[in-house]
This record gives sequence, C-alpha cells and structure tokens, in this order.
Amino acid sequence: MLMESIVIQIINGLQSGFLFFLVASGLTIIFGVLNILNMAHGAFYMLGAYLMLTILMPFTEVGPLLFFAVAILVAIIVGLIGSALELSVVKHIYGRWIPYQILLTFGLLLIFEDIVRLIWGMVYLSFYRPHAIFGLSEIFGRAYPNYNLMFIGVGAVVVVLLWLFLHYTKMGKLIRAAAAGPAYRDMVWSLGYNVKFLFPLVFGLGASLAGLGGAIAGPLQTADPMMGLNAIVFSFAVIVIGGLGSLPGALIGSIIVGVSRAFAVQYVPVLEMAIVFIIMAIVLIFKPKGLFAKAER
Amino acid sequence: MVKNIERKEFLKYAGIGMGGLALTGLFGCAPDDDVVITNNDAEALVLKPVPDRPLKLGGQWILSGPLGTYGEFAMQGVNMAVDEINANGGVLGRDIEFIVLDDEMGPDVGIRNARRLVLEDEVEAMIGTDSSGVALALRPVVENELKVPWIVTHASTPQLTEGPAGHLKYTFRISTVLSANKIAAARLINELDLPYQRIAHISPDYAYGHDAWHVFSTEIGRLRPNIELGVAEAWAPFGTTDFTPHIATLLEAEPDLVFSTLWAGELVTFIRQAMGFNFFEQTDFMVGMGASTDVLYALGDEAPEGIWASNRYWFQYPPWETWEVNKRFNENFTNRYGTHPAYVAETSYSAIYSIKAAIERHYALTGGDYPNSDQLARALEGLAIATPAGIRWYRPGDHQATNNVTWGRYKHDPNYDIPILDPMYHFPAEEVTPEVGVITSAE
Repeated sequence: MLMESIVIQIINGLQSGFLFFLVASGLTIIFGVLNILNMAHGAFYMLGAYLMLTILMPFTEVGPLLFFAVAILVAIIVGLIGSALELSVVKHIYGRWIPYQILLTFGLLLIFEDIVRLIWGMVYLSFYRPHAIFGLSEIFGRAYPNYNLMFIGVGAVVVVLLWLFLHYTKMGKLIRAAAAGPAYRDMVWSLGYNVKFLFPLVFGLGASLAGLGGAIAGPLQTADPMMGLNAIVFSFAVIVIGGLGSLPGALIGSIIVGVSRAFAVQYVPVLEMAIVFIIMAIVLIFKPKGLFAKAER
Repeated sequence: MVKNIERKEFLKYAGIGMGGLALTGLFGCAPDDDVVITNNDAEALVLKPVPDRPLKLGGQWILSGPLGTYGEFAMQGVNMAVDEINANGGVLGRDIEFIVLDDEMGPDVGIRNARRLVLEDEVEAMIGTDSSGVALALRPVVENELKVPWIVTHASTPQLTEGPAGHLKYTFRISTVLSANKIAAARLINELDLPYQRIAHISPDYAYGHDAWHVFSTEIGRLRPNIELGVAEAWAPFGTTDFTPHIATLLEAEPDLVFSTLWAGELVTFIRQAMGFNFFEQTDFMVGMGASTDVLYALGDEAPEGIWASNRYWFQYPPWETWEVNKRFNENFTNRYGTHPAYVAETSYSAIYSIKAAIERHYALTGGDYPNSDQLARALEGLAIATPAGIRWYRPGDHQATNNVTWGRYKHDPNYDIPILDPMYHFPAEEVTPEVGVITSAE
C-alpha cells in the first residue's frame, strides 16, 4: 500500500515535472544565450493554452493525432510571436542593468494578460472531456488517465529532440557556443558567424517550448489569465535549483520540483508550496550556482 | 448661543485671514458641546427633506483576474435592480446612480475604494464584496471611519458577523454565512441516514477552506460520533492547476465521501481531472459551491451525476409556482442575459432592493423624514423583505440576513441547459444558522 502510493506519487510528480520542464527549458535557454531573465515567459505558456483551446473548440471529437497536430501548430505560432517580440522590443535591453530587463519583461507579461482578457473575456476557458482523447490505463488496479502520462512522453521526446538539435546541428552547436559565455561568443563571432541572428531564433525556440507546454496542459486545466504567472514562479525555482542556463539542470530541477511537490501534498500538506522553495534555499546554500552550474564565466 | 455665533464669526475671519477655507471647516467641526446640542435640537424639529439629486450607491467586487466573473455576475444583478427601480419611479422619486469599482481581491484596494465611494462620490450606502479577506479588512473602516451602511453580498466568513449582539453598526450581510451551509451538509447526512463511514476532504488552503472543514467536521462529529473524519486531508493553495497528487491522496484512503469547499474555476479543474481517475465511481463527493451556475455552465453535460452540491441561491428555489418574486426575477434575468442567475447576481439584486426598502421604511414610519446614514442603518436592522431567494430577515443582533439552504444531487435534465439538483433538499434558515453570539469560525 505504501509502496503503491509512493510509485503513484512519483508518476504524478514526473508528469508535472515534465510540464515544468517545457516552460523552464525555454527560460533557461533564453537566459543562457541572451543573458536575459525573461519574466514574460509565463505569457507564452498562457498563450499556448488559450490558442489550443480556441482552435480545438469547434471539434466535437478530438483524437491524439489532431491533438498533437494542433499542439505543434500552437507551438509554432507562439514561437513566431516570441521571435517577433525579440526583434521589436527585447533586443533593446541586452546588456542593460538587470532591473530594466525585469521591468520590461514583467511589463510584457501584464500586457499579454490584458490582451488575453480583451480577446477571450472573463469566462473560464475549459475543454470538454479531455480524458476521452487518450483514454484511461490501470495502475495497481486503479484508473489512471493516459492524458497525464502523455506529459511524460512529450517531455521525454522534447528532451531527446533538444539534445539532438544542440549537439548535431550547426545551429545547435552555435547556440551552445554562444551560451558558453562572452569569450566563446566572441570566438564564434571571429569565426565569421553573426551571433545576433541567433537571438530571435533562440527567443522563439524558448517561447515555442512554453507554448507547447501550455497547449498540452490547457485542455486538462482551466485556462485563465493568471496561469502565466503561476507557471513562471515554479519555473524560476526549477532553473535556480538546476543552475541558470543549464538544460540538464532544468530537467533535473523540474523532476525534483514535481516529485517533491507530489509527496508534500500527500505526506506534509502544509509544505505543498513551501517545499519547492525550501529545496531551492538548500541548493543555494551548498551550490550557490545551482546543481548543474556552468564553469565560471 | 450668542457666544457660539461670536466664536463662529471669529473662526470664519481667522480662517480667511489664514488664507484657508479648509481651516474653517476643521475648527468649525471641533467638538463644542453647546453648538452640537443646539444644532441637533434645531434640526430634530424639522423633517429632513428628500434630496433632489439622484440616490448614489456604490459597490465593489473582483472585476479582474480569474475570479473577475464574480464581479460581472454581481453587476448583472445590480443593473437589473437599478433599471427596474428607476423605471418604476426610483426611490422616493429619485433615480439610483450606481458606482462600481474593482477591489482586485486586495484588502488595501478595497479600503481605498470604500473611502473613495464615501468621501468623494458621497454614496449613501455600499454593497460588495467577494473575498472574505477584503471584507474583514473593510469592516473596521466602515464601522469606525466611514459610518455608512454596507451590505455584504458574497464574502461568507463567519468571522464577519459573529460576535456579541450589537457589535456591528453599519455592516450587514445579505448572503449566507458559511456555517449555515456546512451545518446543513452535516444535517443532510444525518437526516437522510446516508451510509458514510469514512470522510476525507479537499479544501482551499486559506481561511475559507479551514473554516468550512472546521464547521462541517464539528457538526457531523457531534451528530454521528462514529464516522471517521479526515481519513485523508488535501489542502490546495490558491491558484492550484494540477490536482493529480491531491486526487491520488484522497483515493488511496478509500473514503466513501469526499467533502469539499473548492469553488469557481478550481472546482471545475478538480472535477475534470478527477474524472480521469474514475474518482466519482469510487467515492461520493459533496461540494458546497458545486451548484454555482458558473461551475455548472463550465461542466455542462460532462458533470458527473450524483455529486452532492449546494449553492448560496439556487434558481429553482423557492419554487416558482408558489414564490412569484423568484419566478419574475428568473424570467427577467434569463431574458436579459440568456443564462440562469449566479447567486451573487441574486444577492446584489436583493441588496439594492433592501436599501430601497430601508429608506422607504424610515421615511414612511417617521411621516416623511429622509434618513441619514445612522438612521438608514437602523432601518435595515430587523428589516424583513421578499427577495427572489425567499423572505430574508436582517437579524438585529448580528446583521446577518437569514438564508435558506438547498442541497441536492447533480442530475441531467433535457429541459435545462445546465445540470439541476434532483433530489433537492431544503433547510430553513432558522434551523441551520447559528444563533447570534455563537462562534463557529476556526480562528
């Protein structure tokens, strides 16, 4: 009985962890390459959820194929919005004092919240019979929704694709080099590659990952304009635990946050929110730069 | 008398001399027993005339964020009441002018709004607000500083009205007190002899959720000492979007009833996520805000039948055949907005009518005196009024209006666009509302 509940809560933790990862990975890539703490990142998650629910609304029956096709479409749309944002607004704040960056990107988050309110209004945007899409499984003789297991699958696929992209494509290698620190960035520059052209791509990539997270989570949750802010709070904790700018760090951090929250809910309910920040504080004390801190820049 | 006039004259000139009319006002209002008594005596001989400007009333609710729907619901009720009253000659011939503000669910914003409404807009009475936190912060400001009647239309914390008789002067509540709903839930289980032996709960992790579980578990523990209470306890922080670990925790304890006080979007999310675990096939579920129309519209025909649900006002009760006020309210509401009314629409609608009734009550009984703030508050005390939800009575002792409680089970009916309650059980207000002076809050 105890064993069973531990396994179940690990699965629960993993699925929310992989969802955190989709948001946190984009956040950490953007920080790694552009050196910007993007508070507006939660807005991409929220936009993903709203777009997904809106596009799926006319369909009376949604199967896995349609679900994933629309989710990928939404990720691309949100990615393009992200790139456009970089080219128009964000590019002006590179290298500026950090409070400027936070003011600007937090301002963007608020603007997106209001845009969502203007377009979609006040009603809860929710999805009809989300569990019908993927059906139910059985774990220890109890029903378990495949929808939730799907988070783990999508998260794992994204981890693998990101890793292949960063290690086996030219652009991926350039991104890794640019993210390694200013000295490396200059080196890439001197080799004849214009690093600046990477920036809107990286910002768009990060945005599309968050958009994908919002798209696959949206139908299971109730979309509201505040969901962006909620997502960003956990994601910041994740990347601080994992190490700012580190992708493996974001993965491990997400899993730690997801699983510890699930256990807190069952065994120490009062710590449901606090546990994440307690872990963050402990990591900061013993490894101030996070578990997967990069070498000194 | 002579002395006073001299003093006034002196101050007037002194004020001008100092270059500030503000100072005149300041010193002019300084306590001076002679002046006050004389003036009051003089005024008391004359009936105060009905002012020839519109009747200004103010209100505030959450109008932004995920709970912003509640403010919009409240304003549906307000607009309907104001339009009806103005079309029928207003209040003693005066049109109502309503000023609405967004309290953003923040106690500081709520206080700022209330000051603005009273000091700048000079409203004669206020209604609102949704959050118990905002309501509790507002109460001392209204009671000690603003001194204007205020009818709470939603916030349900027992702390707001509980206390020794007479502890409130200007604060009233038309909406139900949380304790009444939870005591009714416990009586329901007891009186129907429902076979629940193991009760778990999932509650919002703030004062509202803690108070609700405290009242319910105390009452059911008293009525049925053998029931195992809290076999699993799940607390959800405000803004929870992923209830999976909570659902696993609840199911593992194998309860036969899960009691809940989740509400609004979070309740919709919980029910939907729980369905993926065949939750409602494994345990009964009882939720006080389950019959709130926003939740029912969001769930639609997906709502699992058999969930025990209640609401602070249920559109079918009192039955339309016997209670014309409810029938008329619902027909007009559905014609105008195309939906069934949310409970906050009904309480706000009825709060406006209560203020109208209190003004007219004082006016009629005094033979034509227009009430000031204190007199208006006294006229609300003990007022009995026919509202869509039934006859409400503002108890003089604690200013809590009596509300009947309805519980029932979700059932789909092709004649309605939302699930309805069938079977439906009613608890008269006097049976489930704690007596004045009884403290039920967990704090």
